[in-house]
Amino acid sequence: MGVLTQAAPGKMKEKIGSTGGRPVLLTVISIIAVVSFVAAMAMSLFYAGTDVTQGHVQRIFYTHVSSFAGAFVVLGAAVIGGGMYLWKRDVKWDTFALAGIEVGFVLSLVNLFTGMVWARPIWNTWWTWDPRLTSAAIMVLTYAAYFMLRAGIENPDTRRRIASVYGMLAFSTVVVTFIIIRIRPDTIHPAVIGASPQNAEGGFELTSSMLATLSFAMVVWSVFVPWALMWWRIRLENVSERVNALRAKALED
Amino acid sequence: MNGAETLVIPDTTAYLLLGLGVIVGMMVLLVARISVKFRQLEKDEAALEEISG
Amino acid sequence: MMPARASFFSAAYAIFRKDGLAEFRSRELIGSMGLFALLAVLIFSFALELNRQARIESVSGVLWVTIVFASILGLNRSMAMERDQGNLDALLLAPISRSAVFAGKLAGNFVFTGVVGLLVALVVTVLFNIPLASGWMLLLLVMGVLGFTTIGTMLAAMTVQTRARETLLPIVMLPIAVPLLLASVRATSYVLNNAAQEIWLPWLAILAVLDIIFLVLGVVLFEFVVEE
Repeated sequence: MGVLTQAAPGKMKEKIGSTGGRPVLLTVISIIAVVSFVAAMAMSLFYAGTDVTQGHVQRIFYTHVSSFAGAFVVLGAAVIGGGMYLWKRDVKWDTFALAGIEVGFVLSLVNLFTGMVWARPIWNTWWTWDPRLTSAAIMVLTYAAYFMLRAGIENPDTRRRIASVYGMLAFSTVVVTFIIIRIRPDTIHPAVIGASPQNAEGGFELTSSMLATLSFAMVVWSVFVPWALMWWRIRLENVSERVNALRAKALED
Repeated sequence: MNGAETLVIPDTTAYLLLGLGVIVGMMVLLVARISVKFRQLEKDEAALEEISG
Repeated sequence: MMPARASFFSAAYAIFRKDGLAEFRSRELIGSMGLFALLAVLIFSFALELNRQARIESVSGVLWVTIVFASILGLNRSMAMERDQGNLDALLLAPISRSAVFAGKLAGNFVFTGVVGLLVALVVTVLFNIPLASGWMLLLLVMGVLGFTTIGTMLAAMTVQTRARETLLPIVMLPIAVPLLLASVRATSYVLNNAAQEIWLPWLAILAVLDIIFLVLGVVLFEFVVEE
C-alpha cells in the first residue's frame, strides 16, 4: 500500500534534497535488478554455447524472448491496474497501469529492435512483413496511441478512466502477437516453446546451457527489471502529481 | 571438438555487438529519462514548498 | 431492478429509432460514407492498377480497408453530432442503463456502415467483375461490420472527449481492429477464390469469437467510458 500512495504532507519535508524518503526495498530491488541484468547478459555472452549455424548473434535471442515476456507481464499488470482503477477509483491504480504500460512499451521496443538486429544476418533483411513481426509492430503502435490518448484529455478523472479502458483493450494486440504463430502458419518466425511452424527459419535446438541461460533471463526480464523500473516510474508520477498540486495551490494564493 | 574444423560457424559477432548496444542503450535511456525528470521535479517541489512556506 | 431491465431493449430501440429517423431525413452519414467509399475504391483501382490477375488477390483487402475507413468517418460524425447537439449529456442523464445507450448507438452505426458495406460490395462486383454476391459473403460482411462498429462505437465515445477528437479515432481504432481486419480479409479472399470450406471456416469462427469478445467488452466497459 505505502509505496503506491502519495506521501503524506509531513513526510514530504524529509524527502527534499535527500534519498531519505526512499524505501529500503526499492534500493534492494534496484540493486538486484542491475546485478541480475548484468549477470543475465554475461550468461548469454560467456556461459551459453555458441549456435553452430547462426554464430554469436544467436546470443541476442535470450534478451529478445525475455524482453517480450517482460512486456507481456507488465502490460498484463496494466490491465489489472486499469480494472482496479475503474473499480476502486484510486489514483494509485491508474499510476500503476501507466507505469506498466510505459515500461512495457520500452520492453517491446527492445524486443522489436533485437529481433531486427538478429534478422539481418539470419533472414538477410532488417524487416519483413511477416505476420508476427507485423502484429508486434502494431502492438507497439497501439501503446503509442495510448500515450496520445492520455495527452489529449485535460480533465484528470476523464483521462484516467478512458486510459484505463484503452489500456485493457490494447492488451488484445499483445495476445494476438503471442498466439499469431499458432494461427497463421505462413509465418517464418520460429516458436521457442512448442513446435515451430514448418517454414520457420532460424530455429534451433536448445542445449542445457542455453536453456539455463534463457530461464534465468526470463526471470530477470519479467520480474526484477520491470519491478524496479515500474516502482521508479510510479515514484516519478507521484512527485509529478505533488508538484502539479503545489503549482495549482501557488497559483491560487 | 574434433568436428569443429569441418563446421563453418558464421561470424555474426558484429550484429551481436549492435544488439547489445541497442539493449543497453534503450535501458540506459529509460532509466536516465526517469531519473532526470525525477530530480527536476524534486527541485521544483522544493522550490514550490519554499514559496508557499 | 426489473423496470430498468425491461426498458433496456426499448431504450436501445428508441435511440436506434432516433438515429435512423435523423439519418432518413438528412442522409448525412450514409451519404458521406458512401461517397467516400466509392472514391476510395476508384482510387485503389488506379493506384494498384488492378488487372484481372491482381484483382482476385487484392480485392478483399481493398473492400475491407475501404469499409474500415468509411466506418471511421461515420463513427466520428455520429458521435460528434451527439455531442454538439448536447444529446450525449441528455442521454446520460436519462434513467436508462449505459449499456442500452451503447446498444442503441451500436445498432445505428452497424446499420449505416452495413448499408455502405453492401454498396461497396456491389460497386466492387460491377467494377471488377468479381462475384461478391453469395450467402457466405453476406454473412462475412455482417460479422466484419459488426466487429468494426462495436469497437468503433466504444472508441469514438472515448475520442470524442479528447482535444484532438476526429484525428485520434483512426489512431486508436486501427491497431485494435487489426485482428478483425485480418480475419475478414483472409476469409473473404478464400471465399472469392472458391477455396474449400474447411480452409476458411476457421477464419469465420475467429471472426465470430472476436465479435463476441468485443461485444461483451463494449457492454461492460462502455459505462466507464461515458460516465460523467
